[in-house]
Amino acid sequence: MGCRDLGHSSIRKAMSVYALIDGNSFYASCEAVFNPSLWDRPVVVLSNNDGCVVAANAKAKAIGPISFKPFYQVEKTLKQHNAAIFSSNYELYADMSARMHTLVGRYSPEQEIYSIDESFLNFTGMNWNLTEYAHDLKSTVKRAIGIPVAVGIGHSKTLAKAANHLAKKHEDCQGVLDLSSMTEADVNRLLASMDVSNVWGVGRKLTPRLQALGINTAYDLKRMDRNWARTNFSVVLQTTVDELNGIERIQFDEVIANKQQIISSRSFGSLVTDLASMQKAVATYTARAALKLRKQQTQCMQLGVMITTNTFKDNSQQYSNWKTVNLNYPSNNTNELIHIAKQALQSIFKEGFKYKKAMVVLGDIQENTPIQTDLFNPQHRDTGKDKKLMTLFDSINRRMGSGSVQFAAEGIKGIGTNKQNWQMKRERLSPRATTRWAELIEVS
Amino acid sequence: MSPTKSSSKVASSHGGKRQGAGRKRGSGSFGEETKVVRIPASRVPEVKQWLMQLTQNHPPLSLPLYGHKIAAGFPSPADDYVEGQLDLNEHLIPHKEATFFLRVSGDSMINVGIQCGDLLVVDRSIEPKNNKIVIAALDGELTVKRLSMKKGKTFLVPENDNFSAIEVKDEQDMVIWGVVTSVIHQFEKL
Repeated sequence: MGCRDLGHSSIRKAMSVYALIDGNSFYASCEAVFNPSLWDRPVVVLSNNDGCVVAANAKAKAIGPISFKPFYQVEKTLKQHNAAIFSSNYELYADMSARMHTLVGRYSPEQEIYSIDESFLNFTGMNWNLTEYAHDLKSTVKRAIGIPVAVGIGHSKTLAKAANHLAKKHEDCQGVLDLSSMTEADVNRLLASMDVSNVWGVGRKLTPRLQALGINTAYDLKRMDRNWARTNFSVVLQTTVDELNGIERIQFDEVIANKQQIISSRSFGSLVTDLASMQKAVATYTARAALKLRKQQTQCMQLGVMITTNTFKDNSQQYSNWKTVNLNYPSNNTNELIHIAKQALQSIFKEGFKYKKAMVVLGDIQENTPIQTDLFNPQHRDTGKDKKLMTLFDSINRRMGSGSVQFAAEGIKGIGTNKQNWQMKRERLSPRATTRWAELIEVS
Repeated sequence: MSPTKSSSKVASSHGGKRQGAGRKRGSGSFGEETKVVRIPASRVPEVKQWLMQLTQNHPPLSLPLYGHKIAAGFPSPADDYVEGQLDLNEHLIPHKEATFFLRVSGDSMINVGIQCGDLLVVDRSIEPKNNKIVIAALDGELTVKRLSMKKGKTFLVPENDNFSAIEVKDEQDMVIWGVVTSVIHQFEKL
């Protein structure tokens, strides 16, 4: 089915080539790494407060349509099929994610981390067998952290996404598909096998409208006239049409946000070697991410900082590291978050390296709750009325006992001293096997 | 009289090479004989750095924590300046991304000093070879044993005389999860 490398690498010339790498059922895969008894069982992971099914492995998906269904609706069915059910273990996922992104990043000088389990690599100009290269990446990640990944390669990010989707769908691809080395006819045949709703950027709203026009597959959309797409739909759809035709149109936002995490990062224009410049960069990214957090009226419980040298180059000394901090209570306060980010940076920064990139990731994101809104209403902070906040802060501590409310920064050293007040329902939490000494997996 | 003969005559009677003089061969920081070579001036730092790494990778060479030698007399103000700190992570974990910690329960590996409650450093990127101490996934559980491959058969061997080796049969799917690189036994829980 077109997963053979057809050796048309010479056609690539100067065209851009992107790869999208993502973890297969990432959360469910993370749960299974430390628990071999899950390897042949259906595994699902629930959202905050154990509300909905947010991740399911292949065996669980085979049971029926369970993804994103409220848990109470599918609980009985899942139990009948002996499914293992977990609450979201954000600490574990964040740590495994950092490991995965670091490993993946070694395969290109340019990596754009798109979500907790997805990143794009720029493969432009790599005129070797990319299918083999991607298989090497895949087996390296699988071996190092036990997470299976899929790799899709194409002349635009949208095509890379599509290739990734197809790589998982067609078994003979073994998780790798390189559209950039195929003939146009082969690419078209593959796109024709892909439902238009699975094209990156085509949402649930758009799908029925396109289907009404007889546009059912990715190939149908690729053939749409770009000007017509703009007039009758939007610039966004025109972009998608271009991208499906291998014309690179999507640039990356520096801040990528979704319901699970906010990522703020950037490669430095010139390499950074000193802590002070690094702190500035990290503070800036944190501020941007915090702003986004407040805009969508959410708060985070977790902050991660990742720094890296140009690990793709192997002729100079390389270093990359990450630090994830769990807050004692949710926050969207810029000052607090910057403070935490700086401490996290300090704990991983090493002198003597040329850093290429820093990244701030806010995770374990939750909706603002009433009491927290009172306390951390962005207006208090953004208008600089720290005094007023502190008064409020202190009065709560007076009323409810000292330490009822603390700055998260104080919490870096302690593990969740005051946590239960803010914690939500997470009844099925697995051990935080990579971040807590007390929760290591036992072997006999 | 040829000049060669003349010089050899001089050498044998006046000065020149003396037996046992100079630094011993192989006594330098590389532990072997060295040689003079020409390299482009621009590449000197690179080569030096590379050589430095070589010597650092030599296990018997320990890095000084302080630049100063311990000497009697006045302490140097520079002694407070720590040139480098020894980092156990650096020593124990060459592959950070692929390294995990596991906790030991039971005493099936007591003969190699792996005790109940000890911490295992497990590197998943190392190739599991015969005789390595490994973490194996067997029948849905993780277990620490010595991997032994003999005459086409695979065994997971406990290091405890009261336990017997487990032969891995084909129907059991056994997967090597990782290779144990260190065991950390703390005498005092801090």
